[in-house]
This record gives sequence, structure tokens and C-alpha cells, in this order.
Amino acid sequence: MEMIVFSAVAPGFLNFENLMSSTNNFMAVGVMALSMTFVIITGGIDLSVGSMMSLCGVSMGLFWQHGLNIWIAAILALVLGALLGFINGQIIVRTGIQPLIATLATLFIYGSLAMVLAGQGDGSIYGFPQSYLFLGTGSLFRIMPVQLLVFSFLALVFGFVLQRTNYGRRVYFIGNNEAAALYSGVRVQHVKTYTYVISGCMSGVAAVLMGSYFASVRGDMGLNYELTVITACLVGGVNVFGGSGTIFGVVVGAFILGMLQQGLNMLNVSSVEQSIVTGLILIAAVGIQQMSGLFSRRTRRIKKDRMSDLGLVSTGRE
Amino acid sequence: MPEVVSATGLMKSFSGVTVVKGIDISLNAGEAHALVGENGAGKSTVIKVLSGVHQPDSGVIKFDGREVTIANPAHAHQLGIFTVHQEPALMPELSVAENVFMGFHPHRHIGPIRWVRMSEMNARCEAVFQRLGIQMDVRESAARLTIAEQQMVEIAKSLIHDVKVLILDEPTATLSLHETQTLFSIVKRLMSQGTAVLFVSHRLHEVFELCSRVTVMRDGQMVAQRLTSELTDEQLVNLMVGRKVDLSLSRPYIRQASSPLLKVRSFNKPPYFQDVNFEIFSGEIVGLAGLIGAGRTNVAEALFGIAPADSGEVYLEGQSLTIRNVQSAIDHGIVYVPEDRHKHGVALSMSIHRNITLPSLPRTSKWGISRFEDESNLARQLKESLRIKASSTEQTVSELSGGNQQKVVFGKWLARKPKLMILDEPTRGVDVGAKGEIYRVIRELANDGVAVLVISSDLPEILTLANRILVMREGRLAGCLSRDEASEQSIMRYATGVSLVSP
Repeated sequence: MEMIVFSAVAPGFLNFENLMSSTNNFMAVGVMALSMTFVIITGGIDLSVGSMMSLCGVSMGLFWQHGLNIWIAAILALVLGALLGFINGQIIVRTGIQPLIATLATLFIYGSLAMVLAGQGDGSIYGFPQSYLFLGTGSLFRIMPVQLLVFSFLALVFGFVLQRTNYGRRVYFIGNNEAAALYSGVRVQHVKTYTYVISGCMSGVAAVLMGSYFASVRGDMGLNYELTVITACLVGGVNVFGGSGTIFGVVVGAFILGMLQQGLNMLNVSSVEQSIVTGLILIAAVGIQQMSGLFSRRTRRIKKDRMSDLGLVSTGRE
Repeated sequence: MPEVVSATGLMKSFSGVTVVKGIDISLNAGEAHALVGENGAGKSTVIKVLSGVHQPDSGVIKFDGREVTIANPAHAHQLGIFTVHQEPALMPELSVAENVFMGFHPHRHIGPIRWVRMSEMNARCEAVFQRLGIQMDVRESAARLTIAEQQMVEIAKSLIHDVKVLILDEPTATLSLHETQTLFSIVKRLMSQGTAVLFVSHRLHEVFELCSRVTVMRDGQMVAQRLTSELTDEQLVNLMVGRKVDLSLSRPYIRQASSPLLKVRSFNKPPYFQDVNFEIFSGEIVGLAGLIGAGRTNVAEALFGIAPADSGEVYLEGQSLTIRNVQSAIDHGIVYVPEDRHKHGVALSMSIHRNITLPSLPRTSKWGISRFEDESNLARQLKESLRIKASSTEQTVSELSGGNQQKVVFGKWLARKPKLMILDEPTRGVDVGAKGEIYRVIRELANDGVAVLVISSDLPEILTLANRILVMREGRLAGCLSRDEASEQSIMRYATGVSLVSP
């Protein structure tokens, strides 16, 4: 629907090459939304993804400045992301601090570290080699953006892990009943920690993609990304209280947001004004899910009351 | 004995479906009348009609010989009809006395202010407690009371008014035996003062102990109304369920192995339990009895690795074993069916399939990738062998009855082929028909050579199932009873540390 509206009001929106290359704008969000899905399904949240992205990006730049090959620097950035995520996870499972609070704290810490490392003010690092820049802006056979390719591959992997592996099963089960998972022998703390490790690692991937796309890294490159990432998950139908959500839904959510941004850009709507639309989309998307969910839940409850009066369902009271 | 309240031809339907179909029931002064039936038989609806929550579609209610309409709960209270629920609803921040006098505090007016006269209230509350034989500080805040004490407060609430009819809706479901006895002695005292009692319970021996008449409901209809003296346990169960249920005596067990499967030595975790020593043989069902808080669940959770013991040795098949976490317990074949099914047993909003296969995922997968075929076969197999009543293995667990949910928890562990299965209150919240099914499953397990440790506060259950009974008191093993020595009296003697006079 969005596509039809934009193609009507902004000529050239439906241009295929344009559409494909426009995905380069939001693949970083998409990649982080994939791992955020795991975190949210277990009942957690990771507010520090934007800050981890900044810190990974800046570190990659510094490694490269100090003479490392850019690709090795990129891999080190991913490792650093995983480490930062591991710290998040350990804070959460060992101290029992709410994920919201723990990652809010690390949002400040990691974000600030990134700024310090980059050097305040004009703290950007640029001048990366061409082979690396191809990752963010290049296309295979002139039509398939490399970023989209990377994202598609990761989405398939994440979808597979969530649906088809034991790890994915445990992620869902923890989100539905953490205590029962523990009483069933699931290593709840391991599983939860890994969701944050993956989240950190994907922040690293996002940093590598964005560094390449903008041909520079900055201490604030990931600023406010966490909000967009979480929005993509919610628009994609992930339950903010955990227990349900799919990778497919999140991919759709990321594309709705990304295409929206692209369309509004072409209409010369400023990014400040775009946020209004983003907010409206969030309310609309989650509202629709809630209403349909609410209605079904409500009708189910009525049915259940009736059935318990009939004795068809045990209510646990009798 | 004069009739206090009676209902004849009671009918009630909800949205076109008749839930109560022509019930006749009468309560006499000083008499306890039991209302029994499986979950969903319509007992609750009858109670709600009598306490003014629901209006009957047809039928006549007479109170003291006059025809009445009980318009709402407040009206029921005016008439002198009070209900004590399974889960009492007290105001936790208020004192006991304030709860008892809720809405009827003695007061005087100072201008527009109603000034509560605390001392008078406390004194009157103490008087009521004395009449009931309750020992409790009336100034204590209600939040600190046990459930049994809260129920006594609920009864006391009815006593500041003129209680003519007391309705007890499964009051003992969450009480230990000792607390139940106290509750019963209070109820009996009220009966001797002329109160009529309507008693709803799943525990049939309580029905026989307290009540002289019993009304049996099934599917909204009255199946029988008898004197309890004319019935046996078994006849009553058959009337309730409408088919024969085997709750019969324990299966014979002959110890085959010479050495025990599990040996526990000086197991310690103060203050929960101390110096616990016992052993279990394969194929044996051992009961673990005791009052609530005696440390039975703590021992079970220590063996299962949820909260490991501080010290002590555990030998499994002669091998020394350290249980650090749940995984190591499961890997050694020790599994646990927890007491609180909804909290620890199942994920209610997930399917039977997902719940049952969770602990077996490593066995139905390769390199962490699940093999759907194996997985759904496993789930289907267990659903069939446990006779879980569900449309398919994809049905959500919350849609199942309590008994079938419990079978899902059993299934989860049977899939792992356990050596020792610890069951914590395995039939709590399960109705009589499903109880028989669970007993059958437990016996089959033992016949297959699994050692079973059953924790239960329901003494007839433990006597029915167990080949041997361990009794815990205040964190220690107080006694071990063989099948022949065990009786409710002997178990209670060890559990309380005092000899009870048999009733």
C-alpha cells in the first residue's frame, strides 16, 4: 500500500534500480532488528545496540588507522561487538538487573566510550580503501546491492535458527515461561546471554556496513539507532513482552520503515518531520495487531468463561 | 433438626446452555451437607445461587420456611448465609480485627468523621476468636497470616453477624492436614451451635469425616443424595464419575535389586533440611509425607539441582554424584514434576508438542538442528501412551484440563526415560476421574522399573500409592513406615511429633 502511495505521489519511486539501491539506507537497522528479535522474544530488550554500533565502528576505524588491514579490522569490530554484548548479558543474568536498565546504562557507557575514542568535535575517520566501500554502496550485476545480499543471507540464517534449531525453541520457551524452562533443564542464563552476544555482534555488522556506506565512521554514528531497530521489531509483530514474533515479520517491519523513509525523502520531507510519520506507523501497526489480538483474546476469554461454567475447561478454581 | 435453607428444582443456564438442571438441596441446622462432583459438575453455580451471586432461572429457595429471592451477596449476609472460598480475600495491609469487622467497624461520630473504636473492635474480635477456639493476635496484619489462618478470619467474619448457613468452597485444598484438623474443629463447634454447613471438597475422606449427608452432582444434574453412613469411598467416587475408577490399594512390590538405585546420606541445607538419609530402589514407589513447610519440596529441589544441597552425598547406582544444576540431574536420570504446574511445569500458551519435547531436544536433533519427523513422532507417541485428551499434539496446553496438563508434564520427562522420578503433589487441582489416570501412569512407571518418590499432603493418596513412606518433620526425616505400619494416624504421629487421638 505504501509502495502504491509513494509511486503515485513521487514519480520514479517504483524505478527498480532506485528501489534496490534505496535499501542501502536501512540495512544496518534491518541487521540489528534480526538479533533484537531474539532478545525481545526471550523477554528482554537491548537499548545499547546504537552505542555498540558506534563503538564497533570507531574501533574498526582506529584499528585500520593503526595499520591493520580493513577486513581484519572489520572482523575485530564484530568480535568487539560480541564482547560488549556478552558484558550486557552477564550484567543481566548475574545481577538480575532488568534488561531495560542494564542496557540503558551500557547505552551511555558504550556511547560515551565511542565519542571519547573518536575524539570529540570533528572525530570522524575516513579514507577507507575502495574494496571496503564497495560493501556499502556496490551492487552485484549492477542490480543487487551487496548490503541487501548480506542482509538476506543473515535473515535466512536467523529465521532458520529461530524456527528449526534447539536454540530457537529454547528462546521461545523462555519467553513464554522462564521458570518452566529452568525446571525443564534449559540453561536459561546461557540462552539469554547468547541473545545479547548475537545482538552485540550484529551491531558490529551494522557498523561495518554503515562505515562503508558513509565512507567514514564517527563516535555518534549509531545515535538513536536503537529506537528505530526496536520500532522495526514491533512493527514486525514481535511481542514486546516476549514469547512470540518471527524473523519474517521483522524483515517486513524493517522494509516498511525503510521504504517509508525513502519515499518521504523523495518527497523532500525533512528527517525531522519523518519521525512524525514513523510514530504514526508504529501506532497503526501495533494498534492493528493489538486490536485483532485483543478481539481474539477477548472473544476467547468470553468463550472460556462460558465453557468453564459448562465445565468444558478447567479454570483451576474448582 | 429444623431445615434452615432449601432449594428445589434449581435451574440455571448461561447463554442458552443449562449448567444446573433441577437440583434439590436442603440444609439443616447443626448439620453438614456435602456437595461433591467432578470439576464442572455445576457445584460452583449452586453455591453462587445460594450466596446471591447468580439468580436462578427457575426453582424455589426457602429460608426458615419462607420463600425468598437472594438478590445479591449483601442480602445473603443479611439472611445469615456466608461463604468461605478456597482463596480468602483479605485486605493484607489491615489488621486481623479490621478485616473481621470490615464494613461494620464499631464507631462513633465526631462531626462528619466516623471514628473507629479500635479497643472495642479488638476486644469484640478476641471474644469471637475465643468462641471459635482460634489463637491469633487480632492486631497482626493480615498479610502475615497463613492461608489457613486467613480462612479462619473469614469464618470469624461471618460470626460477628448471626451465621445461620456457612458455605465452605473447597477450604482445605491448600491446607496441610494439621491446619485442616483445626479448621474442622472450628466448623464442628459452629455446627454444635446450630449453624448449617454446606461443604464442597474433592477430598472424600473429609466429606465422610464432617458430613452426614451428601449430594452428588454430575453434568449439572443431581445423581444421588445419600447419608454418608450408607456409602463407601468407592461407591461415592463411582457416583461422581459415573464410571468405575480404580483408586484401589497399592500394587504389590517385591524388591528385586539388592542395592538401591539412589542413596542419600547426611543431606544438608539448613534451615530447610538437615541430616536427611534415605534410599530408593528401582521399581519402588516411596511416599514422602509431612506437614507443609517440613522441607519435602526443598529435598526434591536439591536432588533436582534447582537449589542444590549444601553438603551430603548422593549415590546413584552406587556411583557418587554431585548435582550442581538441573542439567546434571536430568543427565543422570533424575527428574522432577513440580508442585506448581502453571508456574514451573508447562508454558501454558505453547502447544503440547513444544512442551513435551523441550527436554528431549538434544535427542531429536542433529547438530542442534531439529528433525521434525522425530520430534512430532515423540510427541504423538507420548500423547497416546499417556492418553492425553486433546485434538492433536499442536493444541495449546492452556486449553487442557488440569489432569491432562499434568500428563503433559509427565510426558516431558517420560521422553527422557528417567531412572528416578520425583512427583510433588502430583494430583493437586486434578479431579477425581483424572486422579485415577495419574495413579495408573505412576504405577506403570514403577512397573517399568522407575523409582518414584511421591510428595503429597493428601494422606489417602500416599497410602494408596506408596510401598514405603518417609515422614519429614521440621527439616528432618522423622520416620520410615512400611506398607503395613502406615496409616493416617501413624503418619501424623511422625509428622507432628505428637500422638493424635483418633477421631
